[in-house]
Amino acid sequence: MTEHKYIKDIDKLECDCFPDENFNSTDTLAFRWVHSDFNNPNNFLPVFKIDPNRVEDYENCNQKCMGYGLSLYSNLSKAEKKLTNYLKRKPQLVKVFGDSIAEGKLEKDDGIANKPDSKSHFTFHEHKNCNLKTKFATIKQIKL
Amino acid sequence: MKNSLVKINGFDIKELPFSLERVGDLMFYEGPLMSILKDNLGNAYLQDWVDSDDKNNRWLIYQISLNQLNEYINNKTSHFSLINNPINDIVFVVDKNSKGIIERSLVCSPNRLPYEYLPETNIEFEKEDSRDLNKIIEFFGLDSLVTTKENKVFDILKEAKKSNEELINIHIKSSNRKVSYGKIYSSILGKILLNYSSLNSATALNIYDKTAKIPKEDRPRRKKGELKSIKQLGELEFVYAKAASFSVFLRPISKQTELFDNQTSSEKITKTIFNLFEASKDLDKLKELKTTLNEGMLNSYNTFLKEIKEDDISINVQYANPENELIIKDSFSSSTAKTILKNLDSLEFENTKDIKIKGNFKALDSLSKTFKVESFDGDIYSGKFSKQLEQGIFKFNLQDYYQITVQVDETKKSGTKKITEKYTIVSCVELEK
Repeated sequence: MTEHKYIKDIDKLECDCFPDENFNSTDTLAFRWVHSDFNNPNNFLPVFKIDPNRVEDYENCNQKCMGYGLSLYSNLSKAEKKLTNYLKRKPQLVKVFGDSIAEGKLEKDDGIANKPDSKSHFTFHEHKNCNLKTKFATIKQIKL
Repeated sequence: MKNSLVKINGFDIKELPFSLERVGDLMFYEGPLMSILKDNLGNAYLQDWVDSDDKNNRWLIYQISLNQLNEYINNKTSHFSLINNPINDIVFVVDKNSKGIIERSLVCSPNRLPYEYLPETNIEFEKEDSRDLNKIIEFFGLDSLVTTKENKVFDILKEAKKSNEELINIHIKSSNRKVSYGKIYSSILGKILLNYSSLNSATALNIYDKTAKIPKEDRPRRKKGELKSIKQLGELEFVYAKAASFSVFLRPISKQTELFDNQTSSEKITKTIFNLFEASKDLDKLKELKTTLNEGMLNSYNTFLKEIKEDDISINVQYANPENELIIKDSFSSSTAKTILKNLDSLEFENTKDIKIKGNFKALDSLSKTFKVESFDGDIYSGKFSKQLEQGIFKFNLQDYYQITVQVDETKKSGTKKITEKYTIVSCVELEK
């Protein structure tokens, strides 16, 4: 089995994250919120890699395991709608989430994902050699 | 973008004056962005993420009432309203490092917050973004609270009974920063009070100025102070204000009670105003009522509504009379005001009447066929001569006195606010010396 990109960090969680029957290899188009500067180092980093202390904000192992996955969307307009809504609620979130949408094609070897929810959001766990930056490109910038 | 925290004007404090514990999150996305906390007395606080730099996250912490919390969760109030109306009108600004340790904290008034920290005005709660919502509802017993779409308005009768006086309450709300808990832009308050007073005054004249209803030529001279005493009936005085969003209480300065119906003048005036409020929401009813209204009432009502619309505020108006326990209420949002203004604008009005004046010309112009005449009462009229008379203008002079019949054409067109009057002399006979 291919290793998780952040397996060493996950092991420190002391949670039984994988295997998880809700996560499977996927071959799909995906959208990610990114900064207008595509080279921003946080663009394709999971939340716990950006700030390891955020682990404390998550209550149980189910949630904590998600912290090493990336938030992606399966539908462009839903991804855009959600980001727009967040930036209207908290304008400075642009510093955290960015204000742009990048599109990319996920392939089976890239990692595993759960099923998108009603808002098309899903979590994607990258495999060791996956580099999403090379697979994604910015397609839209949100104008409020 | 330079990653630094926005500067805030406030007072630095060493530590927060309370210790708080998290109950649940109203907004959570890859971490809490808006959490509900409790102090050791069970009071609810909101912890709102607003900013970050390389080292710290900045949070606003402010106390909210359980009603505010409940209304927010039930989408009856906005995030913007919460942030602008915290209990005690103070917000703690707290910078925490990544380990959750407070690096700096200060206290400020919500109106000191930079615009970058404010949500858009119409942003409401979204359940799907919350975490542990049931814990919040359960802990604060929110399901036993009754929510109302509008903020509470005062029990006007209870308030009137305290002083045993008739009271008018104007409760002003807005979803923007112009009106918030206990605060209001003075320009808005000024305009509302002035406009409502003008409407009250015009209504008093409409009801009690019997002389104005007599044709001008037969109108007796007014008694000294007659008009002043009628206007006094429509005069209101500001009694006090309460915070919630912003509420003012007014009372009539003077009143007279009519024997046959035992109604006070202020009750009569207020009922007439509320009849206008009610009727104006429906064009047909307004057309019916219009025949009983004077121009002043319509114009002042127009101005009153225009400000509500332009300032995007909503108003509850209440009246109570402790004597007969009468309560009358009505409310206007900016969209109702807009509809009523349309109704008022679409009132077409045309009327022609003749008035007879005794007086002398102050100006005569044979080229433009125009005149200016002063009546014995001191009223000045200006206009044109009719086709029949324009050839004989040279017969008139500025010394002699005349009995003049003037045709008055009153018109009010759609989309205009004022009634215009056009004066035409149709007959002019010299008075015997």
